Amino acid sequence: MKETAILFGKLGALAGVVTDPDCGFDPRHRPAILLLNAGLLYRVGPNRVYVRLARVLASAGFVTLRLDFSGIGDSESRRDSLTREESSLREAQEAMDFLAVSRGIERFVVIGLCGGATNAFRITRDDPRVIGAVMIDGYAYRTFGYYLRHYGRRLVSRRRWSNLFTGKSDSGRRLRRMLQIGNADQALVNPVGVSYVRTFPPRDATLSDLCVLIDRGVYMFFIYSEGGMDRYYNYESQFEDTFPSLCSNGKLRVKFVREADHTFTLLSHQRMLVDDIEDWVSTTFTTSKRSATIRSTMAV
Amino acid sequence: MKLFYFGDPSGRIFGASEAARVASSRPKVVVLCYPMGQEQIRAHRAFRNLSMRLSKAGWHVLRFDYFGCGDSAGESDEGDADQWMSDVVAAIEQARLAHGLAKVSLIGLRLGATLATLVASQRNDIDQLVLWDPILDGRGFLEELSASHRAWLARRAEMGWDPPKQDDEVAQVLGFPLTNGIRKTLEEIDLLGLSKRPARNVLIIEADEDEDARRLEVHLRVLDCDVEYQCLPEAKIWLRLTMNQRVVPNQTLEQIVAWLARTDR
Repeated sequence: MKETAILFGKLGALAGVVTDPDCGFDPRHRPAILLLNAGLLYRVGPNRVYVRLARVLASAGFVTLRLDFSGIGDSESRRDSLTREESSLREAQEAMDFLAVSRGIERFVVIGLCGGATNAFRITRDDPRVIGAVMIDGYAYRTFGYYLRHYGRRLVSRRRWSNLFTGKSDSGRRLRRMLQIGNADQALVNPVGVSYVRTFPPRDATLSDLCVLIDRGVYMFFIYSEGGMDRYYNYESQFEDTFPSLCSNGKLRVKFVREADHTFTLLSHQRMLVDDIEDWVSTTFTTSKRSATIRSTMAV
Repeated sequence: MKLFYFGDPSGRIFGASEAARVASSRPKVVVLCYPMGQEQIRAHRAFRNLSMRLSKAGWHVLRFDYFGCGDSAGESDEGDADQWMSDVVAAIEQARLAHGLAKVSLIGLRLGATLATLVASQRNDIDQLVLWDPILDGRGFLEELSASHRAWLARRAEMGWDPPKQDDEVAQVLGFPLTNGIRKTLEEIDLLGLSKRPARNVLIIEADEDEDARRLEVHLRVLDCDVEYQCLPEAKIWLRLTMNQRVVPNQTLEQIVAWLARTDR
């Protein structure tokens, strides 16, 4: 395994580190991996987990590039008028172009967390060279089951009932606050989660995009952390309930990580995340393991 | 800007260098020392911004990641403070060699300031030293880290979640391992016990006025340093909690660059 620091893109203004596998792996036989910025965190990722992931994936034979989009990490800010959405697509394509020229690789898997997951989805949708995507705390849609669990947990919380009867202010207002009725986004804040509101495309638009991607043969792995996504996603089969028509295909895998926060702070959660992604990438994109993957991939 | 790896092939260090953008009859170089763990990630963009400002002011600049940190070789549980001090030495040598200079200036934030001071006190080629909210006492720093981690665990418990497994609980701080090696080498740090002058010119710059730093100021004066102390109440970028906000403390960076220019003799 060898790491090389690079500046790439048309202006040479984008920064990244390529991790190449040891000799013995022909990189052209496997897709290369792009690790996309998690929000504004630079290319090492939350808790440096992208560095570990890049090294593990390279050890499994995959060329991996962790990169900084413009204005993040060591990359320069753009001087044109592209939107963030447009620039992230263009810059990911420049990363793919770089690996195509320097490594002869024409197929790619994109991996991102939070804003990186949003970018991963768009890049996968808009560039046919992408054949796989891992989206951590990406798009999610509340279901009846979501609300049932969300309010149910509050109703059985001893602490919340205790707060209700021991305070001095108006009980009705506090009952509403306890149940967090009235403003779901304001209400759904947790102590270790994120405090900002995510915006996702309409569910039907995402369903339509997913269908197109599945038809194109793209494999996708959706990972949701309980703590990071509890505003939007709070049980194992929520994805299945959201998109029941996608149940029968073997291209999607979904994992709900209980008691993990948004940035996978605990070392045990980081290990789990890296192991799960390495396992999925290796089994999905290593030719000899492909048939086994399709059998074992969770049908959602 | 150039990105590259340097140093021992078994423990390659990631470096980012910026050449001076203003020609000078007397070239000068500064090495930037990051803090550790979560603080390093949070400070990254501010350090890049500082590099750009310095290069525009006529300095060659080298930023680098310690072994087991950032993009450098090694896993997060493999380094310790002794190793990181060796990395500061390697970075100084790299900077001197790249530009053929005898003298180097150092800027460090938090633990980076501490490591820079300790290394500088073992050499005679550090001209100027900037200590940005330095850690003076390794034990106190460990207590601070542990308190932050306990507070995070308490917030986690509010979710009704099980406590993490014992091995996780004792061996990490906010997403990074805290090995016995790291703990032991940090415990040995006490800047007020320094017995040799680290640099002729020292700037201590802080976001909050702190008695310990004032004691360090006095101690460094006793060691015959020319010390300036500044308190600028700006954001403590290393404490930032969310990943969708970025703060660059402009005033602090401006003052650091201005002080380096003022004391460059």
